[in-house]
Amino acid sequence: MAEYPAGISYRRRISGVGHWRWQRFSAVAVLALMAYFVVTLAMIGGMDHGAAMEFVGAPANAMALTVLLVIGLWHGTMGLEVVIEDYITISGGRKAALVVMRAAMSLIALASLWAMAKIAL
Amino acid sequence: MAEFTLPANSKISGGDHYPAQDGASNVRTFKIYRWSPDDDANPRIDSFDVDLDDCGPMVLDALIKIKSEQDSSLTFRRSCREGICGSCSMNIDGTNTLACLKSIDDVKGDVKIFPLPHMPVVKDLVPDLSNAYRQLASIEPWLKADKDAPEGEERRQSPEEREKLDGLWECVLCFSCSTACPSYWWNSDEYLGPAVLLQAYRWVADSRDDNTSERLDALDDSFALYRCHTIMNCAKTCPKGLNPGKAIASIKSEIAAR
Repeated sequence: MAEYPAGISYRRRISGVGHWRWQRFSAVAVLALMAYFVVTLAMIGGMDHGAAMEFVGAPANAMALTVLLVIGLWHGTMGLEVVIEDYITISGGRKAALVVMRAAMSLIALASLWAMAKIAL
Repeated sequence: MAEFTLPANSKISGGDHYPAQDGASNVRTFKIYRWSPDDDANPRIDSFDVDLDDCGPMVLDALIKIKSEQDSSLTFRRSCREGICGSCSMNIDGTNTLACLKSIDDVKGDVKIFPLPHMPVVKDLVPDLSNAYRQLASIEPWLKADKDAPEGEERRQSPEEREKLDGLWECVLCFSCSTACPSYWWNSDEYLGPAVLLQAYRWVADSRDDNTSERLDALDDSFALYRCHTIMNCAKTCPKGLNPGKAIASIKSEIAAR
């Protein structure tokens, strides 16, 4: 299968099964964690600021919210990767857009984790 | 660089009108995309009034009548006129289908006919399918067995094994599905598209083929296979009622299960 599949003979094959699998695993995890997050939001809605910070900073809640942040942003990054790969075909533009998007998502993740650490620690 | 204007020959203008013969009482208008590489003109939409009382029931019947009686230069592919050869695929009333299987009565108002979308046009309703055929050849759509068949015998399959090919073998390679797929529109240089992937699964699913693992290895590419985002235009438009999206999902499942 020398020239298989047609069209990509100019480059090495890039397996897509890992991306496909992790997109689905992370989607299920985000779904479950978002259900928890909605309940959490409803619970802290009636609290004053101090009580809310205490609630979010409690070890179990802080842990769950941190996992949601990491997996949610990871899932979002994978989704945006697909969008960019689908729609940006300008030579070099696709790679540049992927680098910028991943950097932006990393910054958002760092800022979110720092905020969580400040509340919980 | 990005292109901010339409490519050459994209702007379509109004065209000629061909009236029906005198005395016609049951007239429908067919608005047909026309473009010829032999002049520098942009594409146009010609209108042909057809007397349905003197015409077969299918869109292909009307096209043949128009070519015979009104404009012999109208160009389209056709052969079997019964949904087996896949030649007369085109966009009719906004949907990719086979002209021979599309009843004129199923279309409300004028019958608008265009070539398959997002493919280079050779002339009028004839798209250039070179890329799609090259992609089909690349998946090596033939039986690859390690051993010869027993002398004087067929390669046998159980009824259950044969059943796995149902919904796959019926494909006539009209490429209605691939040219209805937005992912194929944007990335047809690397994405194989639903028609070719359905064919690929037809051989992955065949119990007589010994090349399954190699076939799956070759298909596991982020663009060749995984550009399918289950939009499902393929299944919606298939004139044979097949489901290429399901075949693609089956390939993904088999790769993931290894």
